[in-house]
Amino acid sequence: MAWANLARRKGRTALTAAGVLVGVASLVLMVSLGLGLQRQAVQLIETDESMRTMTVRRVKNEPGKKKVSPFNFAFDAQMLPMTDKDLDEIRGIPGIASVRPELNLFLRVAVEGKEGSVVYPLEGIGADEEARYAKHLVAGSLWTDRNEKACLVPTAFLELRVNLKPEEAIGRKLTITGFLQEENESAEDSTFAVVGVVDTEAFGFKGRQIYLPMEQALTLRERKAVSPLLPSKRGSYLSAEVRLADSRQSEEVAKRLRNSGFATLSAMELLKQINLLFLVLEGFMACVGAIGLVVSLFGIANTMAMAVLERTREIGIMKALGARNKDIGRLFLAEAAAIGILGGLTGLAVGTLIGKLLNMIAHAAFDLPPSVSLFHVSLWLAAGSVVFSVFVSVVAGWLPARRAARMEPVAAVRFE
Amino acid sequence: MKMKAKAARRRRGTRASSVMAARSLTDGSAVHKRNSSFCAGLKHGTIAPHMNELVRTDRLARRYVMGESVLSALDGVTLSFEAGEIAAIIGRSGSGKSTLLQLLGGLDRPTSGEVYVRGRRLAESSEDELALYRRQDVGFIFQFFNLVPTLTALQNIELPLTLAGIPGAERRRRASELLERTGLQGRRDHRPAQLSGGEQQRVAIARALVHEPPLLLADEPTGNLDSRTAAEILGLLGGLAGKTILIVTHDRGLADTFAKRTIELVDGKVVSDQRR
Repeated sequence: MAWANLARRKGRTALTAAGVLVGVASLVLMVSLGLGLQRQAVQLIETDESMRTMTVRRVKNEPGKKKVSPFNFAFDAQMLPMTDKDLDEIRGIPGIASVRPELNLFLRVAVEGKEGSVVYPLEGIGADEEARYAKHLVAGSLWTDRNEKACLVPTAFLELRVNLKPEEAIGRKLTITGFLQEENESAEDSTFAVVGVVDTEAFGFKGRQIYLPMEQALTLRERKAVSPLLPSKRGSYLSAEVRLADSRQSEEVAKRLRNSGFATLSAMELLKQINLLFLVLEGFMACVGAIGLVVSLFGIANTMAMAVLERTREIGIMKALGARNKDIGRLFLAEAAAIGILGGLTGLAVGTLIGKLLNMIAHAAFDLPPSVSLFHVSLWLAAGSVVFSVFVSVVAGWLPARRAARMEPVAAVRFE
Repeated sequence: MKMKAKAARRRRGTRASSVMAARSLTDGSAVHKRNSSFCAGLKHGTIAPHMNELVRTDRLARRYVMGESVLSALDGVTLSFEAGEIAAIIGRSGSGKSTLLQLLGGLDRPTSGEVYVRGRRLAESSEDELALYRRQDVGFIFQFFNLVPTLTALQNIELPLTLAGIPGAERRRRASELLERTGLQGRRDHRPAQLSGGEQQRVAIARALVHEPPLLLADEPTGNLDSRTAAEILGLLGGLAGKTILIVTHDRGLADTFAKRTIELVDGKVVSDQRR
């Protein structure tokens, strides 16, 4: 019956619902942008491998006292370079499968047969870790000899930087030079053949590095690292990558490490921080989006108040036929809710479509990889926005419905 | 429509012993023209509920406050109606006859005095109980039909049942039955705007009967119809055996042909209560 009453005044209903539509659409658009970015960030970080690894640094002052935030982890003044002794100490901590120094080596890489060069991070792989990388090869194989001038490249490097298919990359030579300046060295010293391609997806945000056998990587760092901020001598490292025996022990192992005077940064901690950040961002965006919905509240209230006035007589008839106050109240609340459903569903559709459209435009304009979607409408967002719009509508319809319910039946019938 | 009014009138037999009292609350000096063989003036509050009594009023008054002045629409009306009785309430506009109907139907509450339904005080009822009373015991018929414009004839007839929460199939069955009884089979899915005045009033009558109330209150049911249609509608009403029908009209001729009892109101007071 509520729908029939709305259908009676299509124009007015449409206009009122359009107010809700705009509100819900803006809400959906704003929040879905937050969700899309969040999903992108989380996807980047959260993989089986990344959840099993954490980055560890040595802290200057008392053990266990300070928990270092992920955002000043890299350049905190309280951090000390790590030594081989530190690495051994970490190896002795229960729950840790393997440890390797992180070289944080950014060098210029030129690919055989391709124009130009790109700056890319390089890391070394210890003998004990080879199996782990061999498991995630999409093309080629591991080096056969750790003294071989060979390297593994990640799929992200090939796709995004040099535009090669994994199979095409195998056998090509990479010429590696310093980050800032070309150095006069024999080309052979810093030329490595690509023997395998590692799947970036498997390693998350740690999957965007070129891997060399550890010894060779350390040699390369000694020769080519130029930054005064980062250690380059053997036996001195900025940080270490720790691999856990079990990803579920992340919290406990991190605690043990902190108690031993290390700071930790795990994908899990990072995720926690990122999710918190996005929660705040999405909350803010939801508030901005909800303003439109709150504005539409007044439109609904106005429409319902007019409907009550217009139908004074009808209310009287219904009362004469035995409708209770609450029956009348419910009828008008149902009408308000119906406006909310109408505006909510169409707003959801419009918001989602605009998101898709903007996503397409962004892809066309910035050449993003196809897997990236900037707007994400989750089930929760979809359900939540419609429920919220119905809630707002019912709130808006409350007073008019109450007025209708309390109308004196006689006054209502007499109203000509 | 066949004319059933005369046949219906013949059916009413026993009303000689009807308890009737018409008194004035405020001054008690109102002149009541009574048919003394039928009526006995009784002290208020001591009226024994008659066997067949359905509704009774006791010194019923309704005043409307309009700014500074107080308008007394109804002023000390004491009446009793038996089950199955057909009575006409006549009077000029403003005499309080519609107000009386609204008070009897639980649409309005009296300023003072009482309405008893089957011996029970209506004033004790809550809003919801009054709604329930209207839903179960009362059928209203209005001068301006008062159909819901968005609903079809059938849906309008169903409305009291809808409000009572009766399931759809049952509702349609009973409404269809009444649609036939009122000769509106062909108008089932028409909306009020597509119906003639007479047809609308027949829908309204069907709506007033669908929940089988014992009390039918008709407020100028023919006031907005031409005389031929009015006769049809009255025939329809007259054919309803067993219902207590109170019909408000300003047309004495209509009252005389339709009802065996005619109550006349002047300025909110009963001035005559005659039975034939």
